[in-house]
Amino acid sequence: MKMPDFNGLRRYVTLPGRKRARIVRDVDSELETHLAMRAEALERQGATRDDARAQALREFGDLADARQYCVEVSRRTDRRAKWRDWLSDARLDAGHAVRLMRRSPAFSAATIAVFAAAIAASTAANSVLRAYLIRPLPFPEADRLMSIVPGPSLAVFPRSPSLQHVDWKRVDSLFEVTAAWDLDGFTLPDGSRPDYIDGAWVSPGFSKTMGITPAIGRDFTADDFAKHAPVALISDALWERRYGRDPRIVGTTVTMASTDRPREQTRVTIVGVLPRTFWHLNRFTDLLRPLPDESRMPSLARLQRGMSMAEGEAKLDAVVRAQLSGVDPGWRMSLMSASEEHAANIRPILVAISGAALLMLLAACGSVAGGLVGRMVSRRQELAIRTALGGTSGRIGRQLLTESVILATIAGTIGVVAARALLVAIGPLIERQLGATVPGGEIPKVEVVPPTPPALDRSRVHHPSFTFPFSSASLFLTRTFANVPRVITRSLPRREP
Amino acid sequence: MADSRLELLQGTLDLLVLKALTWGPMHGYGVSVLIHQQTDGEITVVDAALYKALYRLEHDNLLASTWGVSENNRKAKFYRLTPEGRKRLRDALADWRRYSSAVEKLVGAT
Repeated sequence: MKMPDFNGLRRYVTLPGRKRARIVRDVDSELETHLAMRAEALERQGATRDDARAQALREFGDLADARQYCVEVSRRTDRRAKWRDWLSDARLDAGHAVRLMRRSPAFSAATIAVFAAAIAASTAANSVLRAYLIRPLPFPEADRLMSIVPGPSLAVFPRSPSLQHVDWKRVDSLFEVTAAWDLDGFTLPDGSRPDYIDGAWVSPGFSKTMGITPAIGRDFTADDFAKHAPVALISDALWERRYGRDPRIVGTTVTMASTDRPREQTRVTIVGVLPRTFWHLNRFTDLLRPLPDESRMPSLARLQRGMSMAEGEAKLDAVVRAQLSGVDPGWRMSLMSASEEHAANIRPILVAISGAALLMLLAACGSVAGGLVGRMVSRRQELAIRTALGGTSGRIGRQLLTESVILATIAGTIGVVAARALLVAIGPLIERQLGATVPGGEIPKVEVVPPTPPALDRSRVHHPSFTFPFSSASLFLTRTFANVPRVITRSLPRREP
Repeated sequence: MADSRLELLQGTLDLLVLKALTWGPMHGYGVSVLIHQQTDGEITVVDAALYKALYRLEHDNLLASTWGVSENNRKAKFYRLTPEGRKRLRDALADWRRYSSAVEKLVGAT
């Protein structure tokens, strides 16, 4: 009696996902069968065994080439078949999941609502966090931009030396560029409506540090500073408010009185308008005038390329200290990342809120998972039937996974849309409550823009590159939790045969 | 016989393979023999080209294959037409008839 061909049987039931070695073996086996059959036929016609084999090979043509071609094509066929199976399974699972959700609308709605709320809260919280702490300041090469702090920290140092007679020009040369400003208020008495506006006297390095290119007109020139020219730049907001966006404002001479420097000239020519996108660390931006040539401590400095913060700080401290005497040994000049300084006071709040939102998301994931597990109990019958009909635990697990993914995707979409609405509605309020302006002007609204890596985030396009990972993370968390049912299917009662 | 082999255009080979499989599922050698016999020995397909065609047609979803056991108890891969394959065969046959009758009109003109 002949043994049954187990090997053939095994091949017959093998799933499409075969390995390369198996494909090569299959092609070889098929071609060998062909050669053997042809040789047998030739033998029957009277050829010797060796001749028959040789002729079969000769007739075949380029065997090596055909073999290679068949292996290559077979691999592609295989991959496609695998992908097609996967897709058709996914479609089936999705259809089934949607039918199930329709069958228990209350449960689905509750799950989605809980989850969407949690995603909305954490997405909104993390958008704010990102706007303040993660997005770089909207200045060129902001990563090298440092705040100069007269003391070891932002806290008030009890015995600070007087810095009145320090020659700050010697500090300027340590850095690529520095910016100093003296905040001031200006009265504009002309016209029908006198204005009191916030402005500043700014140093020659200011424009370069902030990357300002006037929207119309020109920037301050070296001459303006050298000759202490009576010129001014105005903000887009003031241009709109007071001058109705009239381009003829450039070159116009207006009267203005400085609050802090009453002896400065009052007939001042407006030479340019700042771009609408201009954002500064403080709100004194409606009017800029060239700072008179005087020694003034810069507030911002950009490190030389390749210079570390510690190195810059050591040099800064040495230059300043050399001009002072009897300094408390605990005192020193220090540098601090400009973005860090800007958000120094609100960092703990933001981190706490984001943490809370994350915990809420976790709690929601837990409760949703709990709900799903609870429902599993009522679905035991359905699952038992599927198992009985030959559903493997892997296949049923995938079905359950698809259900969770669909739930999470719907909830995630609603959550992100809600987060956007929330930010639009209360963004300005958040900004006021936190007491620090949002770098770049506004909290990035969640917009449907393909997420880009944060490193590319130099433009002003607001995109949810930070919020998306969060939604995805929550999807992942639910998936993980929702996989619990799969464990349960494993423990389903197995009928004795 | 081996001397009279014709070089076939690729489209023609596909047509022959698809047509051969309308006799029912068969392995590569079977296809080769069937084409040879049905054309009264006029056409012998080079085996290398035949197998390339079989794999290509399977990739294009015109053929499907399963492993089975041949009539003399060898493990062999059996090909059969898929519904797409049948449709392609119908189209290819129609094209072929138009083409060959057009050529015949010219060549047979007196």
